Amino acid sequence: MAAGLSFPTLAARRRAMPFVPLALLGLVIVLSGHRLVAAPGFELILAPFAYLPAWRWYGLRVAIAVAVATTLPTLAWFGQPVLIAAALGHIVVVDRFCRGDRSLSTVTVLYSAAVGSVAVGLLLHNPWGTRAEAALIAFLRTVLFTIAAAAISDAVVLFITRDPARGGLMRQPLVSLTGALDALVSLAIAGAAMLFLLGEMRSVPARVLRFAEQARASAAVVPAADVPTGRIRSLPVPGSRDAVRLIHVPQVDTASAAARLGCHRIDDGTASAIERQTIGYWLTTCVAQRAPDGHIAIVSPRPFVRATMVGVFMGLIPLLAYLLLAELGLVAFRHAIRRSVAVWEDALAHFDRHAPIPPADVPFSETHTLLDRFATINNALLASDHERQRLARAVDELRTTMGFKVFSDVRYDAADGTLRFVKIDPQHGRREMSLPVHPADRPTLANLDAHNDVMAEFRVGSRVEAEWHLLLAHDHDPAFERWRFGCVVRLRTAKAFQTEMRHHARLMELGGMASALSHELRQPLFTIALAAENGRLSLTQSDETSQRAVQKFDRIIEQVERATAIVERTSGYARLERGGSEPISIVDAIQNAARFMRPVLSERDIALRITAPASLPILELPRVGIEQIVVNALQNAADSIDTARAAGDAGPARIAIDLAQRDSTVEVVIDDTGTGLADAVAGTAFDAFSTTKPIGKGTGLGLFVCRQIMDEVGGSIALANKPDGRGATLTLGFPIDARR
Amino acid sequence: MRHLLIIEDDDDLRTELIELIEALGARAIGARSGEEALTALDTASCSVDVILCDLRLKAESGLDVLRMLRHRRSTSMTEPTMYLMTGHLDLTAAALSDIATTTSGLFTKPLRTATLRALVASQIGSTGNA
Repeated sequence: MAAGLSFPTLAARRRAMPFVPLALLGLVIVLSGHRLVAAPGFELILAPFAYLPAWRWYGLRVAIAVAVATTLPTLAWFGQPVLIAAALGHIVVVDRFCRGDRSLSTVTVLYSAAVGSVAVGLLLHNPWGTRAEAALIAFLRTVLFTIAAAAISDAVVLFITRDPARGGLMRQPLVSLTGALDALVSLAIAGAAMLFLLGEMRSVPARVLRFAEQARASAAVVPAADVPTGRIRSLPVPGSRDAVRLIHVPQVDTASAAARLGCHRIDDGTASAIERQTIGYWLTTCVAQRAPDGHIAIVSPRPFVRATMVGVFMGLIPLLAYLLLAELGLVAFRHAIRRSVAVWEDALAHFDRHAPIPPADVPFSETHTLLDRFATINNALLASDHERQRLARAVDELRTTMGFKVFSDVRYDAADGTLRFVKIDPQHGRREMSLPVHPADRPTLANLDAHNDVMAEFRVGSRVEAEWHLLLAHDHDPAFERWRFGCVVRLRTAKAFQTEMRHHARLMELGGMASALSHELRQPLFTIALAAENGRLSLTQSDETSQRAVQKFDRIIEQVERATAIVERTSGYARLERGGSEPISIVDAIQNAARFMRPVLSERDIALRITAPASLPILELPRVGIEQIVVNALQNAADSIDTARAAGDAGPARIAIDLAQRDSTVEVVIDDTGTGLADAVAGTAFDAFSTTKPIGKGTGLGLFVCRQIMDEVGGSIALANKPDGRGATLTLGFPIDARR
Repeated sequence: MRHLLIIEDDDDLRTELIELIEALGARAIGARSGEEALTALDTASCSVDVILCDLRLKAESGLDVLRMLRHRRSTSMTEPTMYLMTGHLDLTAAALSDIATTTSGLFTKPLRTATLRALVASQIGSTGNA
């Protein structure tokens, strides 16, 4: 047999038997066999306590069986099957009408009003010779008792339910609010009415007995001669508003006289003590008293009993009206709760759909406050969620357009040439990821210094036209040889930026040209002017030829002055094109220049690495000028690397820009792996028109302009070969208290 | 008669300048560099009144040359007035301030004949400016 399949063993079945309900049923059956009298004429019928919960827990069939089982024993003392019929009718009506959240007590009230009145009609039809008052009392007693039983059953099933697994009973996990209210109100009202009736029924027989004794005493002192024999007369009774009907008859006629007064019998001591305690007894029994003249005085206490009963009924009417009103109020209350629940369900549906919750009219202040808060929180959450989504979309857009990635635990794996990092993402959490690095850029990443802040440019993938990315890594962790945080941005060179940069470069070149020309021309112009002056002075004769020569020299001198003026005007432009000084970050300026040069470097497969400390002072510098120095340096480095390659250098081509703060200067060192500087040009590298490049490739103004700019900012510039002989180093020094 | 020392690495310019100064009635000697200038001063027959030096010499700065000469001159000699000349107009304030503390003045090339005449006629005083 498969291990998963098993049948309940005998022991398990025995355990599953509902012992508690069976025990309770047995108790009710036993008690129903006895006549339990709460008050004279007020027998307790316990059956509803059994069959109503049975119907709730086990359904109609079990309830009918229980009803029959618990009402059959009443035959022993009641003698009539009317209780069995009433119980069965009750069960059927409950089963038919007790639907939804309608309580047992509500249906029982309806049943009692309808079916109970039929029973009263039957009683009034009088197949058993019952008086109307007694029938009414019996009806009221039954109705109130049944309603109270139903209310108690309601209360019981609120807290106790059938255990579906074992068939027994268990505590109800959830209590219905309307059910609890129904049960409590019905129980309170019906219980109060029943207790009132019970109290009255306990006291009425004693009063009747007392009255009967009084009547007997009154009749004893009435002289028979005053009353014609056989005539009914009214006799006042002391201590009572009501008179009694009195008839004097000879002893032999007592039975017929009593019948004339509406009595079935005479209270002659044959009735039992219990019988004498009931109202029904006194409604149909006359009192007999022997008069002094030998006649028997028959007295009927019925008017008194009736008046007393009317008093009881009148006392019950406000209670019953109150019960009715309470039931009506309950209906309204149940409706309000249903509406409240509907509003909540609607609010929850909106919450479920991530929709704003509209303001709603809720009947209860408690739920209204709660719903109001719930709606406010939900709507605020929705608004912030919309904002978050908008931001997420914006970030996504940024990510896709810029290829922007933020991550942690960054390291370069030289073994397989990948950049490894951990991506943190609200949707996917922590993910280990990697980017394949272009083979040409692997040395760049492999040689990253273990600095706290590192920048490096590299390509992803292996294609030649692979896009360049900028890696920014921060917070180096030497223990694991990685950076704790980093980001990668896809580098794009904007067209407008390129155009602007190129425009600046052209203006700078023009400015440099003007400045260089101005300087270079002044020297020969001075020589010409001096030579002309000397020539003029050397002519001592005053002959005509000499005079003409003097004129010629004067003209030369004049023209030199004119040329000097032009040169002076031109050299003024050079400074204008460099723009004014402003507070700038040197790193930014260097990155701008690097961006501009990226296509050139990328095309020539040259790796660029920029390293800067976490913080550098902001300096007052001409931004455009500084950018142009770096552009110029990168161009020179790239050209030099080209030359080295043409000469057979096959090593990795690399330019490194390192920034550092030394005392009162910010030092920028630009290293390349090119040919370096030939000794012949070492001294004149910064002169105008000094170039080692082929004709058409360089103007020879680049370093000249660079020196001019550095002179202007009070900085230093130096060019030297690297100690290892491979490439050159351009060193720029910017004073931190940049003098203007 | 005034005695001038001209320090200028451009040979043509130096020759013409010396010629003109002598034509204007003063005596002038020339030097290509700081080293030559030092030799010239040591071997000069009489004390030099005025030194006129180019700001940007081939391998050195005119300002440094003048500083060196001032430092090395013998105590017996009268202090010559020192001037710089340059073709550069874009000097920084810092450079100009250095020049002002070391020299008596800075002339812009080309110097006008009138300026030279005043220099020779000692109309520009020992502390005068251009």
